[in-house]
Amino acid sequence: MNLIAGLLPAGYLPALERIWKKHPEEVRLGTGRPVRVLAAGREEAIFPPLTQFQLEDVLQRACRFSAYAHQDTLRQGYVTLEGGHRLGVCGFGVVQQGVVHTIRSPTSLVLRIARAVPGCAEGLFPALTDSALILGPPGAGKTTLLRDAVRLLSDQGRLRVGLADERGEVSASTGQGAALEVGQRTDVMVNVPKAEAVMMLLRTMSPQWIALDEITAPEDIEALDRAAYCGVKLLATAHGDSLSDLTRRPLYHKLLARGVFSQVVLLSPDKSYQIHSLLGEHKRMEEMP
Amino acid sequence: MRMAGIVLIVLSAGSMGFRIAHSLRKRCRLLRQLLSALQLLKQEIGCCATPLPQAFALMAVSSDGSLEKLFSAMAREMDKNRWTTPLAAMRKALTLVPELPEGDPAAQILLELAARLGKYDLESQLQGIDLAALRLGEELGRAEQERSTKSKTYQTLGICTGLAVAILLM
Repeated sequence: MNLIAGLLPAGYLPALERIWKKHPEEVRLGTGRPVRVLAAGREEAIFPPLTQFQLEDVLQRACRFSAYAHQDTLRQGYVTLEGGHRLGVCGFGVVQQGVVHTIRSPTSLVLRIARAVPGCAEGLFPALTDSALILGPPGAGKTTLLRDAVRLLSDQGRLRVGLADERGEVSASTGQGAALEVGQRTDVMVNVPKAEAVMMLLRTMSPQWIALDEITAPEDIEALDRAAYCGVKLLATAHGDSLSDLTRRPLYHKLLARGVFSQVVLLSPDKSYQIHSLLGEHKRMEEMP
Repeated sequence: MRMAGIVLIVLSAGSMGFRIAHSLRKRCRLLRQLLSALQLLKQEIGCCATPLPQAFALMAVSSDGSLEKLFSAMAREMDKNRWTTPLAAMRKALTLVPELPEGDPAAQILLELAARLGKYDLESQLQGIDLAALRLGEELGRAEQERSTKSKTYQTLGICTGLAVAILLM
C-alpha cells in the first residue's frame, strides 16, 4: 500500500485504502479514465479521471526520478518496482534507427501487484523430480507458483537452485537480498537476459535446478537446451491456455521436440493447476518425420 | 598592560584577515570536492545506471563536511518520499549548507543540474553532468585566482589594520 500511496495523487488514497483490504491484483491507470482496481475478481473505479500530466508524474515517481536506470525495461514497456511489482507502460514509442529507444507520454499504466503465496506449490513439490514447465494464461499466477516452487525446492528439497530473474519480479531482489521468499539455497541473477543468466548460473553457481520466468525467445530455448544437457533440472513458465498450445506454437514446439521438460503444470484462470506428463508427447514428436 | 592590549588588537584584526583568506581556501576546496562528486555521479549513472537516491548516498560517503551533509540530505529526502524531485531535494538540502547560499554561482549550477537530472535518457544525464562540471571548473578557476591574488592581501590588511588601530589608541 505504501508503494501505491507513493505513486498516486493523494486524492485517490482514501478510496484505495478501502479497496486494499480486498488484496487487489492490479491497478489500471489511463489518461481520461478513472483509476480501476481489480480485487477479488471484481473491478472498482475511483474517480476523477486521471490527466496525462498525472500519469507522467506516476511514471516518473515509479522510476524514482531516474528514468535512465529503467531505460532497458522501459523500452520493453515496463518498469519493475521494489517488492517485485510490475508497472506496464503504454504510450508513444520513441524509435531511433528502427529500435524502440523509450516510451514517452504514457497513456495508460497497469500496476501488477506481486504477492507471495507461501505454500501454493505444496501440491506441485512432490512431482518436482524432473524438469517442469508451468503453463498458464496471463494473470493465472505462473510467477507466484514458480516462486513458491523455487522456495520449496531450495528449503524443503535442500537443493541448490539458480534463479534467472530478468525482471526482478520473482524474487523482488534489492541490495539487501530477496524481498520475496525464494529459499535459502537459491542464487538469484537479476536484470540479466534469461538466456545469458542461465549460462552464467550454470558456469558459476553449480545449480541442481535452474528456474526462470516466461520463456519468450528462441535464445531462451537454446539456453535451456544446453542446461538440460549439463544435467541440470529446469523449472520455467510460459504463456499458454492449454497443452495444445505447446504443439501449435513454433517456439514451444521446439521445446517439446528436444524433450527439455518431462512434465507440464497447466494453470487455469482460477489459479488451480494440473500436472501432465510430457514423456509420451516427446516420443510422439520423435516419431514424426 | 598596554602592551597586552596592543597585542590583542593586532591579533584579533590579523585573525580577521586570516579568516577571510581561509574562507577563500575553503571555497576552492569545496568546489574541488564538488567536481569530484560530480565525477562519481557520472560514473555511477553511466556505468551502473544507479538510481539517483543511491547515487547521492554514494556521493555522501565519498565526500566530507558540508558536501557529505548536502548529498546525504538529498539521498534521505528522495528515499523517504517518492514525490520529491531531485530539484526539490537539492533545494531543501542546500538550506543545510551555509557555504552554498542562495544566489551563489555554484549553488545555481547544482540547482540547474538537479532540474534536468532523472528526466531523460542516459546520454542527456551525462551531458548535463558534463556541463555542470565545466561550469564548476570555471568557478573553481575564478576562486583560485581570487585566492592567489587576494589571500595575502587580506592577511596583510588584517595585521596592518590591527597595528593602525593600536597606534591610534596609543
